[in-house]
Formats: sequence, structure tokens, C-alpha cells
Amino acid sequence: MILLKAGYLDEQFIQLEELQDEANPSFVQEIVTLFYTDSARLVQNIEQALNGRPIDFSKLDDYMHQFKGSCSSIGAKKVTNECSVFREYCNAENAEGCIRTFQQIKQEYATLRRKLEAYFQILRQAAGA
Amino acid sequence: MARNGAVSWRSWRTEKIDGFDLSPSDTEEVHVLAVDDSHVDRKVIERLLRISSCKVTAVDSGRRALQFLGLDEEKGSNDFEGLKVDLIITDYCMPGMTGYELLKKIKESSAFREIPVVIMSSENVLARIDRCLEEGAEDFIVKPVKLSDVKRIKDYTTREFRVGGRGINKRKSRESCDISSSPPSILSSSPISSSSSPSSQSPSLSPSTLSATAPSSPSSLDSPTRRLKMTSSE
Repeated sequence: MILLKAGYLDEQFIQLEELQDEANPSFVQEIVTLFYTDSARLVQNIEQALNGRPIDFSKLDDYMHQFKGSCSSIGAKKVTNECSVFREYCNAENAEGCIRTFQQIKQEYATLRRKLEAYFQILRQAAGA
Repeated sequence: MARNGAVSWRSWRTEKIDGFDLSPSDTEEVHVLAVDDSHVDRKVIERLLRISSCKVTAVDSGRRALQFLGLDEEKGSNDFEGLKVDLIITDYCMPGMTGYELLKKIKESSAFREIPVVIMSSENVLARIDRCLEEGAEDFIVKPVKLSDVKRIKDYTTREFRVGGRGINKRKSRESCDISSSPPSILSSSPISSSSSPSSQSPSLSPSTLSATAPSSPSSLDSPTRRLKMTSSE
């Protein structure tokens, strides 16, 4: 699947797809929707924490740990990797690194959402055909 | 998705539990209490468990887990809120009460210490793993949790009751034991060190399940904790 090949998603996403069956045909879509709804709050928290002066790196790491966990649970490979980079900057208390990386994260996060929406759209169309 | 072998051992095993259970109509399947503060992870683990034919109760905190078990206000109480719990799987990092703290509370409880507890964590930290295992956790799963992880931990619900003599011997006195008396008596009479012999004598049990109890079986060599230890030393 192209999103896997392009590195946006990893095996975990495939694993989730394997959990779908006739009784639960939209499980993955539900999880992805839940992910985006749930993580919006975390993204906001991280944003706010990055705006704090001084930055509370411990809190930031805490939020990012949660966010990264969710990303990894849905197989969002690129975003998860960026989260790891972020956590390294966080541990080093490198504010600039964190801010820069977070921009990357938000971009990847938004890109993935678009691609997944398109993917689910295609699946729906294929199912309807 | 049920396999024939799996169905036969599971229904045999739960008849033991039924005899002891306060709510006999409930336990056809393994009942797992899943604890995770992440909504996404809760939904995933729930699905993984359901697809593995388990009943699931998912809660979002250690506190709620203890409440469900009836351990929160009334320490040592045997009042079950609902179904009997056969396995507890909990996230390590949670606000309030960590999975480790929950594990300790469960192991300190006379009513619940025998329930196998599995810890999940996104972080593969050897010290953390060791600490949990020392405290009595059955296993430690590195997230994201996969179907193969769930299938493996399901084994703990059968192995625990069969091998240590914990489940079988205590719960043997009920009439439901008579339904399938031969497999348990063979297994309970053979301690873990010599459990290789029963495999030919218990045709109603799937060989893969029996081999899971033998210390020399591939599954124990392949145990996740060893795998984790090898990984973290790389």
C-alpha cells in the first residue's frame, strides 16, 4: 500500500487493518478519527507549553510522550519519528530544536490526515462500486 | 477466527472458573481488564482482545481498575463489581497511579494476587521491565501491541491455572469438574518440570497449549522478556 511504501505508515497500520472484519468494517477509520480528535488536545497543550517562558521541558516531554504513543499506535511512522527527534531536543532542553521540530510534526500530522482521508475515500468508493 | 484446539481448551478451562465464580453465567470466555489512559490505545487493545475471543472491560486509570475489582474502598473485599477477571493488562505510564503501582496493589491483595498481570509500555527500558517482573508481572509488552502479543498473553490465563495448581486444585471441588476430569488431573499431578509427559495423554487439549507449559518448549525460550533483554543490549 502506497502510504506504507512512502514511509507515512508502518506495520502497525497494517495490523489494525487486519483487525477489521465484516462486523467491524470501519475499525481503522474509527481509530484514525479518534486519534485526530484525541490528539488535537495534546497538540494544543504542546503548543502552549512551547509558548511558556520559561519552557517547562518536563511537561513538554510528558505531553509529547503521550502524543508519540498515540501516533505509534496507529502506525503513523513519520510523525512518530519526528516525535522521537523532539524528545531528544526536549531532554537537551533545546527550545529552538523543539520549536523547529514541532513545526515538522504538525506538518507531517496534517499531511498524514489528508492522505488517510483520501485513502478512506478510495476504500469507500471501492466498497460502493 | 476460533481454532478448534483453542476452543476445546478454553471451554474446559472456564468450567473450572464457572464452578468458583459468583456469576456462573458469565464466564464462557476469558475476561480481561484492560487499563490505559490513552483512548486510542484502549480502543486498539479492546479490539485485539475481542478478536482473540476475550471479554474486555477497558478502564482509563488504575483507580478505576481497582474500583472495578472492588479493591478501592473496601480493601480485601471479594465483592466483584461484575465479571470475574482472568487477566489484567495495564499501561505502565499513567497519570495518578502508574501500571507498576497498580501491579503492586493487585499482588498485595489476597483476593486478586493470582490474576496474571501484563504490563505494556512504549518504552523498552530494561530496569523498568525487571522491576515489573520482580513485582510479579507475567509479561511486559512493548507498544504498539500486536495480535501476536495478545495471543501469547492469553496463554497465561490457562497456564496459571493449570500448572501452579493454583486454579485447578482450589477450584476442583465443583461438579463442573466432572465434565472434563481427565485433563486436569493429569496436569495437576505433573509439576512443571515434567510437564512434557502429559502431551500424549490429553487429546482434548491442543498440543500447542500444553507445550506452552513445558519449560523446555520453544515458547519459553522465545519469551518476550528474553527478546526484550536481547534487544536492549544491542
